[in-house]
Amino acid sequence: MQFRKELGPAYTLCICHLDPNEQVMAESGAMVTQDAHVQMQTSATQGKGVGGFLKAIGRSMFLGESFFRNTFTAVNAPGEVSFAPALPGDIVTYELVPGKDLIIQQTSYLASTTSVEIQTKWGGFKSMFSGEGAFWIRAYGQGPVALTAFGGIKEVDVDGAFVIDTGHIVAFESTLSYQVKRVGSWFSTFFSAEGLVCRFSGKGKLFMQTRNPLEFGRNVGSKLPPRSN
Amino acid sequence: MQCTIECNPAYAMATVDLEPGETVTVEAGSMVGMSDGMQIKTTIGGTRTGFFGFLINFALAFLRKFIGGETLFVNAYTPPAGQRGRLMFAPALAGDIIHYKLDGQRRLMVQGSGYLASAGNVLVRTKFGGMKSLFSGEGAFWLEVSGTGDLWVNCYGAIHEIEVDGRFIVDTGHVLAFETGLTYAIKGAGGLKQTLLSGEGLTMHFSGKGKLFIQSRTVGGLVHWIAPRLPA
Repeated sequence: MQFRKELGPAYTLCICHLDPNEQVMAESGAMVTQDAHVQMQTSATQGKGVGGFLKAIGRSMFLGESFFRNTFTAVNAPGEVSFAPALPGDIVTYELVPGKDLIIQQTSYLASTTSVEIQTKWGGFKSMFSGEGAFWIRAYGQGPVALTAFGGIKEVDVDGAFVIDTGHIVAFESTLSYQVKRVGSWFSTFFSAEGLVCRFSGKGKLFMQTRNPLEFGRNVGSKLPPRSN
Repeated sequence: MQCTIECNPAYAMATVDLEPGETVTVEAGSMVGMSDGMQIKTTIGGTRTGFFGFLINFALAFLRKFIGGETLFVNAYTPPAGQRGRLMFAPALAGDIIHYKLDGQRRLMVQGSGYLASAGNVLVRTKFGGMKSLFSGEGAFWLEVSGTGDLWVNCYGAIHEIEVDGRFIVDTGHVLAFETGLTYAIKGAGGLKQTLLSGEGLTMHFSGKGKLFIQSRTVGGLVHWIAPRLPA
């Protein structure tokens, strides 16, 4: 299975090439095109049966996780499926190797090969302040995973420490750890509009997006006329 | 100081590498990432000093915030003593970044909401553009930027740079910045009928010699497009 990207960086499309009977899993609603012989199965994200179904309902209600993900199979012949996120922005593909997990900001997951496990994790108390919700996706296993971003994607090789605005995180390798911190003095914390930042330390890759969806929403939203009810 | 701009024109981000002791000042909320240990100082910006100066600076910042859509505060970032540092910053909307070098002679007039960052000995003054600018689409305030150093201007859409020598006409919402060798007059797009019905509204008629920076989209256009499509 291979991912390739086209039309980037503003409106990137992710094209997945499948060998005969290979599978790819993707976020629900992400599929754009597929070859006619490619079959799609929809499954609850939390496994089979009534238990998995109920667990998926719970998680989608409380964690904002997708209820379903789709799996595409190229039946008996090679095939292609293409995926796109809702927001304009770039896509990055990352090759997972056993022993090094990738922690993904929840809305940045797009697709992955079926030998990669995708789990939603409570990120701990600090993650509630990290801008993009309290839950992260942990991807582990072997093979490629495709991530989306709002805006362009910049890869930073952290060796030591690096500070990033919370709304700009896409994903990071599990060899990095982070702390949520204030910027500068208390005065700066309240008035700098930077609020809280994440300070990553260790050695590993960090993927950041060049735009912050919340800031974009605030900026455009404040200019919209009041809604009439 | 070294500056690179990446992911442009749609989602430009500026990366500035600072030598020891150098400072870059960035509009509040625009920081994306930075090296560890950067010192941050939050101020209201402005050029006047003393107590009354502070009040004037504050009043101007306040006006910029509510009329120009700017943030009230700016943040100055400096690397830790004796060390180099890196700062990455980007505007909130989708678009490119202009990196303009000020040489101490030319001045640049920038649309009220265009300020993104500056470094060196750069002065930013808030100017009321006069009655004519009330109709010029992007707010009544212009920033007059002078001094020596670097200025970064954010825009919505891509940047188009035009060397004007003589006369040139631009739709008001698309004007980002222009050098002070240029002057302008606000006019209708033609006769009264064209002004009202052409959808072009008002235009800025530039004359003189200098650089003019225009943006390929307008925020007003985006807002007008989104508003009727939102669910009630």
